[in-house]
Amino acid sequence: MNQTASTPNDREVENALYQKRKKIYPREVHGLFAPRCVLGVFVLLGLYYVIPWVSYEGHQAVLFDLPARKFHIFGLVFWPQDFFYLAMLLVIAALSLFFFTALAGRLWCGYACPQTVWTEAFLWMERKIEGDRPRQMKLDKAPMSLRKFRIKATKHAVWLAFAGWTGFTFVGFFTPIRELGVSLANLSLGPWETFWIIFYSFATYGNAGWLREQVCIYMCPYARFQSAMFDKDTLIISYDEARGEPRGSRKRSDDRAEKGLGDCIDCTLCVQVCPTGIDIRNGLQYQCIGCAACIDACNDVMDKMDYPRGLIRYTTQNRLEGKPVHVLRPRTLVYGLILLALLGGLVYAIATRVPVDLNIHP
Amino acid sequence: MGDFTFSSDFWSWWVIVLTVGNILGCWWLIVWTMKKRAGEAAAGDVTHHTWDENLQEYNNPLPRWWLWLYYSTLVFAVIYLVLYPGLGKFRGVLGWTGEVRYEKEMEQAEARYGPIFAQYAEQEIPALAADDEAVRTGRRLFLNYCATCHGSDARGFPGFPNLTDDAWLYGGDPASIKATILDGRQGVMPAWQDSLGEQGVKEVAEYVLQINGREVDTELAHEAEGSAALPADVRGLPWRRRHGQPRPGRPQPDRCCLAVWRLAGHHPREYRQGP
Amino acid sequence: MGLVENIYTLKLINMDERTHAYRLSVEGLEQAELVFDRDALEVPAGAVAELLVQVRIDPVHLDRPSSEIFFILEAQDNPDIRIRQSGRFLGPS
Repeated sequence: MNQTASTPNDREVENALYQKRKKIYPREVHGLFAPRCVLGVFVLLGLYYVIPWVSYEGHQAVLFDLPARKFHIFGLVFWPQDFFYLAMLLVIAALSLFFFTALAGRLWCGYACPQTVWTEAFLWMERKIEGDRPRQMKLDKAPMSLRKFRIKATKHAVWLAFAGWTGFTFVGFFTPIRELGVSLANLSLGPWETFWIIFYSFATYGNAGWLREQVCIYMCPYARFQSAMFDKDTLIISYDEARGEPRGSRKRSDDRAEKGLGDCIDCTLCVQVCPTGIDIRNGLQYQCIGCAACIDACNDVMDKMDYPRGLIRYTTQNRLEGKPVHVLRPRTLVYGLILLALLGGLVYAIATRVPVDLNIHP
Repeated sequence: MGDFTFSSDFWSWWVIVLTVGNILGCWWLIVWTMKKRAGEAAAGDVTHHTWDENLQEYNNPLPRWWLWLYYSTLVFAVIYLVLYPGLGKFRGVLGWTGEVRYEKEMEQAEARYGPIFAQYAEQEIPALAADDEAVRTGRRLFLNYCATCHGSDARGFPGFPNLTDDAWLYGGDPASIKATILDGRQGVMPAWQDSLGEQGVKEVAEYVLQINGREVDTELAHEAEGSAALPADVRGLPWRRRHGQPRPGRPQPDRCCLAVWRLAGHHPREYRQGP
Repeated sequence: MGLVENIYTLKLINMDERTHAYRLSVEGLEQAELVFDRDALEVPAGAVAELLVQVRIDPVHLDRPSSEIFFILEAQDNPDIRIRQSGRFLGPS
């Protein structure tokens, strides 16, 4: 069930169709999965920002030269005649999405999706400037003051600078980035370069700074067709209801069996750390991006309570119901085999590519 | 909209009314759906309808920023229709039309290519022939306009002369060639069927082949040479004299080079194909 | 004299990063003769070369109005760079 929080006030009753967005302040989390998330952010962002600067045999290693209709990827040059490889690559991307989703659910969303990755970076900047979750909430509730203005202005300036660098890097994949840098320094950018740099900067700033989870919840189709790609053997993040319920707070020294309580102490930390603002205890929801923050938060609490970890954990629906789990099943096997075949085919085709073409007219 | 009459501007008004009506209708729809209705499920609850025995839907609210998106599309529509044509005959404040756009593109093309062509126009043709860039341009133009008939190698095709040899029907100097291209040429071969009859035509054909050094039925060819079917003033004279002196438009019948035979000869042994 | 001739415009694209000299030949029709004006086909890296060629054959060797022929292009300095494209040769019908 979606959390609607407080009772709708009069204004909201009138505009019952629409609801003002409640800002989500994801609490910072540490644990087993959080560092993997951070590693993912560093590796992916690192690749993105560094690759355009890499040179290969005197020219930019990765350059999508649109005017000359040539895509350079290190030693390979792709011409428009090689478009077939791009089509194959897209098919492989789609198939690997189906394969990995069938296997392990929203892996992409939680660890690799650009929206998540950039939002994590922006959240980190926000945390450094505005403070942790309670301080952020307090600042937002406070009336405008010089201090608040200064803090907010700093945050947005940092965000904009980072977004600007992102937009600049993006265009640097299409125009040699060093020349682009020189043009930027001399303020002699061409009109289209200027437009696209501003466009992608604005898109980054808007998506990672403002929209954040709204993209995942309302704009991304992946969330909506996940139910078609999951089955009962798909790895999902789930709350062990049987173990956790009935929930309730208690002292650490209490015997929960005596008190008739499950392991969940209703600390709501799992809700506080969630970047999409859901309560995982309600079950699998489309908004869950599988980032495992709730797992880390709950494990932390379990440790403090001296309970075993894993009240919220990666598991499958079958395993939760006590049924046997099949990792190798028709769905995964078929996807996997086709994926392997296509990948092999693509690698072979590119490796045996002949760098000459002959067209005969008539 | 100066002269407005109902009948001639009917369709213009039709469009205007429907377009404006649509925009207003969208506006009304957005506002009307915003209000809560009696009997509607509370926000966050399931609605009262069940599909397929157990499929139910939550009545979750939409994000309010969608509402601003809807409004901004309406604002965009209004601004667009004020600036650009869309409301019937109203041309829009910016006066954009396809014709104006086309004219602008032509101006740009003229500014870009005009000087180049002007420069070429001033030069003598032999000088142009020495200019690599001009020759390349000429080649592209040739492939576009001339190659379908004269062949992409310019060696001709039945009915269309070979432009690479030195048999010039209308003159091979630059000025003549230019005139040929500018004004075109009409070649007219008279029909001899009525005056010569079928036998006479066969005889003349064999004769022409013979004077080209080809294998012929010598009896037929000899007949043509002295044939009574021919007009008195040429009887007994080599028939070729009629086509004798090189005159514009009259191919030399004794040119035996394959390339000159545009109309596949009496015995089509040669075959040319290809654009 | 009396040969059947088809003209082809061939576009050759050197997609490699180096200049190559190529060799062109034709196969699929025995006795077919390939005629083109250049003997050396040198194409710089990334360039497109246009080539006008004629293929001639005595019609006595043609058994049908339309035959399939193949053009083979091979780089002289690297036999791995080789391509074989099919075309059609039209004779008298």
